[in-house]
Amino acid sequence: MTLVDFTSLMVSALLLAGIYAVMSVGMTVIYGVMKIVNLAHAGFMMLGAYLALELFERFQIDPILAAFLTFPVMFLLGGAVHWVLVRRLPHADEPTLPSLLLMFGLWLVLQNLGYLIWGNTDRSIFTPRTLSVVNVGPIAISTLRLVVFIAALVCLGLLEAWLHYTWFGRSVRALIQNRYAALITGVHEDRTAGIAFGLGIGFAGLAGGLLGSLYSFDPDFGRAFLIRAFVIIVLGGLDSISGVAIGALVLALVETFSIIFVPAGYQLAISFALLALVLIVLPGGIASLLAKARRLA
Amino acid sequence: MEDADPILEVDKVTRYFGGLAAVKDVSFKVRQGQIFGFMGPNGAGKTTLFSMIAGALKPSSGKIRSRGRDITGAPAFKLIKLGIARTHQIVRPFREMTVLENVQVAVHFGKQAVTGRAAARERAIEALGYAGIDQLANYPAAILSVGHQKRLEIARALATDPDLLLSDEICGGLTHAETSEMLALLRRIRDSGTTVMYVEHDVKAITSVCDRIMVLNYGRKLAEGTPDEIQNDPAVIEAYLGTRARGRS
Repeated sequence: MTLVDFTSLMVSALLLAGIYAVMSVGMTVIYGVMKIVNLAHAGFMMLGAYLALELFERFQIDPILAAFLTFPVMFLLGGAVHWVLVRRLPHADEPTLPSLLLMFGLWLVLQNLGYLIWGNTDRSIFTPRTLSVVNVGPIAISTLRLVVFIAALVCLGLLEAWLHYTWFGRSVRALIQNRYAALITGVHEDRTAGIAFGLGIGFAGLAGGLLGSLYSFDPDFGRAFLIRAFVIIVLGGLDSISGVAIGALVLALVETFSIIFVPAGYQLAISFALLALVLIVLPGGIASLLAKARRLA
Repeated sequence: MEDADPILEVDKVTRYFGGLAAVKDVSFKVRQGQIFGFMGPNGAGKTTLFSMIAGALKPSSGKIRSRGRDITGAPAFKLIKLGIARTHQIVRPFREMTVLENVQVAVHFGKQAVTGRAAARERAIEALGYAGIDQLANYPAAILSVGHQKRLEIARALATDPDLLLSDEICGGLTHAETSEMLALLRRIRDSGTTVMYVEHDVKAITSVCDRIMVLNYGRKLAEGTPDEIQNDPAVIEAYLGTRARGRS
């Protein structure tokens, strides 16, 4: 492999990692605050993709901008879903069966709603930008992927800043780190969880919108990405955003470089193999490895 | 007129676990500006009573009021808005945050919400200073010693500007020197106008710091009075030391 090949693979892995991180971070926030594994994440990603498509086709809004516009819509939808359904789940410190069933059922409902509204044909968002590339020396980079990557980084940065520097973000982190202490400190659990859930769904919608301009989609869209999100979250540890970033990068690197050795169609198998490997070798994810290193230092 | 609206009034509170009464018909009033303690042997119902006052457990019957307002079973975030904050027996810091951030979380939920980042920060630093750990503000909470974590627990509660501080075994696990510093801190908190309700296992600690003490035994109120009265109460002595063996030679 030449240096140019290597560099372009590195670049495409990095660009892939950005979007992977955005799609996983919503699940992480929801898991961290509520200990709910959001199996319906794929469904909300699908909605985000279709929403971006509708905005693009009906109002000629740029698809990337449209993806950002899906965020507030999906945020409100997420808040409503929390208020109507999720709020009623038993509060727990670990995932419960009712929460898994609810989210799985919700996914099925969303999927079928998608079939009802948009039918089962493949759709895609196609703009003049879709096929354009920028050349950096000998390396060609897809403009669209670059834009999506930058958009993803901006969103992750905003989320991280929000979690660290606002009082609401602080109460979200407080709930993630120690639910009980957060409660006696005065954190209003239901309200905070509702907003965190909205945020998670907002990020699902945003990721869906961004992915929708990269890939074609149908109402079953998101299934493969949901599995990837699991791998990333397991890799990164279940409740930290920097962990998600690292997990996304590792998965993207493995997927991208595996193309050299195995056909592209086996990419998902590689994700699964990685998941199994991590669960066997490093059940606590990379975060546990870092914590161990810190303890030894 | 006496106690028109005591800051805390517990009225015939009972709590059953299954058929067993962990707390039975306990009534008392806490007046403003006191350190009010309750003590009792293991299993006397201290923690159950405390949990009911702090809103973590619902009484089977009875009422808990603060300034005439019914707070029975009210969730923590409401109590804090009413000026009732608590610390917990087992310290529970937000481990991944700095000491200052830990307190900043609490600042926003106080009686009067603090607006503005600078003001919130200032209030948090003030609370840390009060608890005597302002020099540790930028350390991660996870590395603090138990003594300092307990102070952090107090700073976090004080940051909500409470009128009543409920404090559960705050001296548990502390060394002798740390305990006396902690008791001095409780006195300072009282002197600054916050009423303190204090539950402790350690008889010496509680009798040295409290203005008024209630003794529980088998879930019932055994005695109430000043530390002197309590220490000389035959029923209390009996509960702690047992009855004197009657000599049959």
